[in-house]
Amino acid sequence: MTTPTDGNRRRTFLQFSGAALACASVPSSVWAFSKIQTIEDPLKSYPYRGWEDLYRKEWTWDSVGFTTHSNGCVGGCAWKVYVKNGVPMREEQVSEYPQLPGIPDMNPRGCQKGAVYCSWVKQPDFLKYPLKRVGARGERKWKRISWDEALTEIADKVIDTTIKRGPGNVCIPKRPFAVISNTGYTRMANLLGAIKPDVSSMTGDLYPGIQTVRMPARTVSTFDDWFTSDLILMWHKNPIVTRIPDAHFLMEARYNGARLVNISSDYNPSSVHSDLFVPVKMGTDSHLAASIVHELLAGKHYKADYLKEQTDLPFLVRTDNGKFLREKDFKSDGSDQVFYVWDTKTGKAVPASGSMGSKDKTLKLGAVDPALEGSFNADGIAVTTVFERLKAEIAPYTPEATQATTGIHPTVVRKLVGWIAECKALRILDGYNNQKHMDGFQCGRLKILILTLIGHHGTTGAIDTTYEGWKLEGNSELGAVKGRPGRSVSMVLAQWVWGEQYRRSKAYYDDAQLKEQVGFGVDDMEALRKESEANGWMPKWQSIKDPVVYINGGINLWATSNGYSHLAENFLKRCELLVVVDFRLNSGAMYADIVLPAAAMEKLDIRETSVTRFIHAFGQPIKPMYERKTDWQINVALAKKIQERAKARGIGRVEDPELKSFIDFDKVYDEFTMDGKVVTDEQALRFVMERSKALGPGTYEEVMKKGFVAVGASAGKTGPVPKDKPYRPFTVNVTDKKPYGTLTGRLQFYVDHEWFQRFGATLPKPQVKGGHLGPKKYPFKTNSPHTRWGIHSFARNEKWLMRHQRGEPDVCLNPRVMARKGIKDGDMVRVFNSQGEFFAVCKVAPSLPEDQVFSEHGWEQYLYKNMTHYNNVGAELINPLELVGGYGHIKYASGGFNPNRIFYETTVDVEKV
Amino acid sequence: MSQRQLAYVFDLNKCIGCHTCTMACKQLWTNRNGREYMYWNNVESRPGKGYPKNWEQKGGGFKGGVLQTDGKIPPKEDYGGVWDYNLQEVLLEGKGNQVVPHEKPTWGVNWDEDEGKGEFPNNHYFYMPRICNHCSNPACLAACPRKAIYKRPEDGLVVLDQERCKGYRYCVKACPYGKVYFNLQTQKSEKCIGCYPRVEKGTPPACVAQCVGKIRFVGYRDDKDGPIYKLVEQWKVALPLHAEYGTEPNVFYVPPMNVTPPPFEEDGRLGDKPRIPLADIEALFGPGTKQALETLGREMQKRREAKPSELTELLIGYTNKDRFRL
Repeated sequence: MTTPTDGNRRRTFLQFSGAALACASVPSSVWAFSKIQTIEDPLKSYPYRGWEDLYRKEWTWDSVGFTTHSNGCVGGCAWKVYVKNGVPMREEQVSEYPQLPGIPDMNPRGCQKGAVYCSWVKQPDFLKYPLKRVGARGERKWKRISWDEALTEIADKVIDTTIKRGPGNVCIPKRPFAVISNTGYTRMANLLGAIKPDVSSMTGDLYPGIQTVRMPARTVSTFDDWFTSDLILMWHKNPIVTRIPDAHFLMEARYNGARLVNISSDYNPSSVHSDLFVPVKMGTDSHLAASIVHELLAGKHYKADYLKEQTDLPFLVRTDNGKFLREKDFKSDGSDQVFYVWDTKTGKAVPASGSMGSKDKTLKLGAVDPALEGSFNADGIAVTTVFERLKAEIAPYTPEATQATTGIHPTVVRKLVGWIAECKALRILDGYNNQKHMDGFQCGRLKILILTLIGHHGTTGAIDTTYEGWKLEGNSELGAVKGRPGRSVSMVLAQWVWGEQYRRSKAYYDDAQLKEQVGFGVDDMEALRKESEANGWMPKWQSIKDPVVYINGGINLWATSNGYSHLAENFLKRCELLVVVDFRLNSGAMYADIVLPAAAMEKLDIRETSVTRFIHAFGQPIKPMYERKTDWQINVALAKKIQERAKARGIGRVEDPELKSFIDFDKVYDEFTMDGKVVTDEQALRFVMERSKALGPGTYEEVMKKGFVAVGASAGKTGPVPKDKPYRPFTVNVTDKKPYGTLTGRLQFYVDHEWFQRFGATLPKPQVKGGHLGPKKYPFKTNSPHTRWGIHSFARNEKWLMRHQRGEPDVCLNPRVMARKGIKDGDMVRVFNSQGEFFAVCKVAPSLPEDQVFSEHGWEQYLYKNMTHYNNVGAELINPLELVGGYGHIKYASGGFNPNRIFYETTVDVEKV
Repeated sequence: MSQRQLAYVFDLNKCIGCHTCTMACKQLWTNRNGREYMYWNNVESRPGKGYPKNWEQKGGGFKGGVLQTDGKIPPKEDYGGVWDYNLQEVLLEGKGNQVVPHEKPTWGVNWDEDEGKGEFPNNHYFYMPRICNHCSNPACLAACPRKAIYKRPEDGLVVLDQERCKGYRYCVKACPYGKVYFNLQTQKSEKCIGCYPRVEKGTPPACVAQCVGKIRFVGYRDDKDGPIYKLVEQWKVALPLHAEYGTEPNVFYVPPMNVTPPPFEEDGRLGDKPRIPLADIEALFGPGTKQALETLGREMQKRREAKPSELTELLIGYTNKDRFRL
C-alpha cells in the first residue's frame, strides 16, 4: 500500500492549520475561478458530474467467492470475498438467509473482525512458507525450508520417537475451527496412537457442573430462539461483545416484550441494553443463584408435575448414608442403577423408569404419582426425597444471608425472582466465565436448577451454554480408525504435569486459606489427581508419557493457561520437536522448531457450529496463497512422507499394547486416505457431507454455490431441528418422555458419588464460602474475559482494530483505584504477584468495581514488554469434583467432563511503573 | 434542491458498538490513498469526546441561518493515531523483544470506549455511530468557495467533486459534525459519499447493509410506506443529532432509553432516578427526546402485556426488505 510516511504526514499536518488561516485571509480576488465555469448554487444544480466515476471504479472486482472465518470463533457467518488482481480486497456478508415465520432473520451475520479479514492477510505475521528455527527456541530466527525438508524431519522424528520411547509420546491436538481441518488431525493422531488433548478443558470452555445434570452440557438453541423468550438472563456471558452476529436477537426480543437482565460483576456492554443490572461481586454467583433457588422454593414457584416426571427431585435417598435408594438395597443381585420414588397412590417405594439400569426407557409416570416431599419407610429403610434434601440444604441461603457475600440487596433478588416466577419463557445465556471460577461447577448446577424448577427446560426455555456442533456422521466416520482410538487426555491435567503447575500453585496459594474456603488445598488437588488416575477415572497418559513430538495445528499451547512462561519453559524441556501449523505466526509459534503455513480463508471446508441452522462454506475464493497448504493437504502430505520414510527405512508395524493396538508406519498414507478415496479436500468434504444424514448428496454443491446450507432434522444431538421454528435442545425429553443420558435418566440434581459426599456437594449449593481463593495480600482479582476486538488471540494485532483500541495491551481499573494508586489514564502499570508480572497501559474504566484488574484476553505475548503475558500472574486450581468418574454419566469425556481451566481466582496487585 | 432525499435512521437501542459498520466502510473506501486516518463512519462511546476529538466544540454550522466562520480544522492528533507495527522485524527477523506501534499512541478514533460517565454501579454509556448527515442545508456546501460540493438531485447525497476541489478546507471548518476530511495525498477534501455507486444499483450503503446489529434503516424521506417516514414523521421517535447546528441532517437517531437499567441507592436497593439524565440525551437530540422516549416506553410496555405495537414491529425490522427501501 502506498502511504506517505508518518513523518511526512505529521509535517504536512502541522502546516495544515497555518495554510487554512492563510487562505482565510487572502482577498477573494485571488480565488482563481476564471479557468472554470461558475456555478450559481450547487444546492440547486451541478453540471459537472463526470468525476463521480472515480468512486464507482473503486467499487469493482474481478471475482467473488464465499468464505467464513472461524479462527476459534463459533459464530459461523457467510461472507463474500471480492478479489481484484488476484488479491482478496474486501468482504461483505452474503445476507441471504431465509426467514422463519414470525422470527427476525439472521441477515446479515458477521462482525468487525470478519470485515477486516482481507486487510489482516496483508500483515507480516501471515505465514507464507515453511520455516525452520535457526536460533534458540523463542529467538524468532528462521530459515525458509521446503515442504519436503520440513515433512521429512517431522516424519523421521515421529518414527524414531515411537520406536525409541514407545507409542504415545507424540501429541497431536485437533484444530477445532473447521470440519475437515479438525478431523485431519484427529485421523492422523488415531493412526499414530498419539495423545489427543481436550481443547475445551484447555481453554476453559467445559461445563462440567451442568454435565452432571444433563448430557450433553454443551448445547444451545439456535440463537434466533432468543426472540421467543420473555425473560433473558445474561449470566457470565456478555453477548453484546462476544456474540456480535446474534446480539440483535436480544434487542429484538426486548422490542417484542422480553426483559433482559445482566448479572455481571462489571457494567459491561450487555448491561447497557438490560432492564435490570445485577452487579454481583466477582466469583460469588453461586450464592446469588442459591438465593434465587431459595426464593423459588419458599414461594412455591415451581412446577411440581414437571419436576416429578423430568427430574430426580422425587427420587428417594437413604437417610442413613445419603445414598440413593437402589434396587440392590432390596435384592443382593439388584441393579445399582435402578432408583425409586415414593408413590403417593399406593404408599410404596416404586422403581422409577428411565434410569440407566431400568428396562423401561421412558419418563412416563403411568399410574405412579411420586411424592416430592416427605420422609418414608421403604421396607425398613428410612428415606426422604432429593427435593426435601434440597430444601434443607438451600435453607441457609436466604437473600438476607447472601447479601454480604454477593453485594446484592434482597429486594433486588426478590424483584428478579418475581420476574422468573411470572415469565413464560426463561432463557439463561450461561457463559464460559462461570466455570473459570472455582465455584462454577456448583453455580452451573444451580443455574440449570432455576430453569428446571419453573419447568422451562426443554419446554419454552433453555440454558444456552455453548454450541454443540451439528451431528455429522460423515465427520465421525472420517476421523475414526477402527481399533485405533488414540490417547485422549484432559489438557488441564496434561499441562499440570508437563508444565509442573503443581509446584507453582503450591508456591502461590495459601493452603490454609484454600481449606477454609473450599475444604481442600493444593496438596490435596495433587493427591486427588493421582487417585483419580489410579482409579481409572481420568486418563493417565500425562503421567506416563511426554510430548516428545508435538504437532500443534490447534491453539497456542500457553496462551489459554495460567503461568505462561513457567508452563512454556517446563513443557519445552519435555518436547524435542515442536511443530506449529498455523495461518499466522502467533506467540506460541515463536517457540516452534518448525512452522508450517496453513491456508485459512483459502480452503475448501465447512463450519458446523449450531448457533444457526446453517453450515457455512470455506469456498476457496482464491487458491492457497504463497506456499500455504490446507490442513487436510498438510496431513495428507505428512502421511505420505511417513509412509515413504518407513518403507525406505524398512519399518512396518509397531505394536501398541497399552491400547491393544498398533501403528502401521508403512501404510499411514494408504490408511489416512482410505486407499486414495479422500486425497483431495473436495473428496474429504464430500465424504463428510454426503455421509451425514442431516446433509446428504447435493449439499456440497449447494454450500459452494450459496455460501451456506441449512441442516436437516437429524442434525440436532438432543432432538430434531424443526423446519419452521428455531432449534431448541432437549424438547423431545418432554414431548416424547425420552430419558436423559444421565445415571437416573432424569435431569439429575443429586449425585451420591463418594467424592461428592466427601466435599459436601451432593446437591447444587455453593462450594466456595464466598471469599477470595488467591492470597489476601493481593487486593485485586484478575478478570480477563473475551474481547470484542479479537477472536481469542486472532486479530489482536490487526492494525485497524488496534487503532480502535489503545494500540497496545491495556489494563482497566476503576478510577477510584487509580486515584488511590496515583495512576493516570495512559500510564504504564505493572500487575504482579509472587508468581509473575506483566506490563500494560492503564485505561480508566468507570464500569468496573474496585476489586478488579481487568484485561480482556487474547493479547499475544510478543505485545508485552519483556515478553510477559497477562496469564503470567495466574496460578492453576483443580476442582476435585471434576476428577470424578465411574459414576454412570459422570466420567471422563473429551469436550464433556474433565477438569476445566480455572482462571479467575488469582489475586494480584498493581502499581505505576 | 434535490428531487429526492435519501435518509437514515440509526436505532441506538439496538447499537452494540461492534464497529462492523466502520470496518465495512474502511475496507471499501478508506484503507488507502491518503484516506487512512479518515473514518467516514465511526462509532463513539457517549458521553465521550468522539471522533474527531471534541468535535462538538469545533464550531461551524449555522446560527440564525447564518453560516458560522469560526469553525476549526481539527489538528492531526484529534483524529487519532495511524500507527503500524514492527511484526516483520520482531517475529520473522528476531530483532527486538516486543511488537510495538511505530509511534506512541496518545489518542485514537475510539480511545474512550465504554468510559461514559458516572460511578460504578451507576455509571452509563451508550454507542453512537456517525456518518455524514447528508444534510438538506449542508454547511460544507455553503462554505465552499469553489462550489465543489453539491447535493445529487436523485438522492440528495452530499458529494465533494474530487476534480473541482482545490483543498481550501473551508468545508472541513464549516461542518459542525467533523465529517469532512482533508486528504494529504491528493490535497483535496474528501468525505462520506453515501455509497452512491451502490445506491445507484439499489444496494444499501456498506455501513447500512453490513450492520449486524440491524440498527440501520435507509430509504427516501418522501416514501410514506417506508421506515424512515414512519419513524421520523409519524412516530417521531427518530431525531436529528444537534439540530441546532442548522444543517438539517438526514440521519435520524432513536435515542437511547435512559431509565433502564435502574441505578442503585447507597444501600443497594434499586433507585427511581433514570440511569442517564434526560438532559444529557436532550443535549444531543433536542426537545423531542422526552416524547420519543415516552412513546418508545409506552409501546414496549404494550408488548410486555402481549398487546400489538406497530412501532416495535417497525423497530425490530425483521428482514432487510423491512429496513432498506431504495
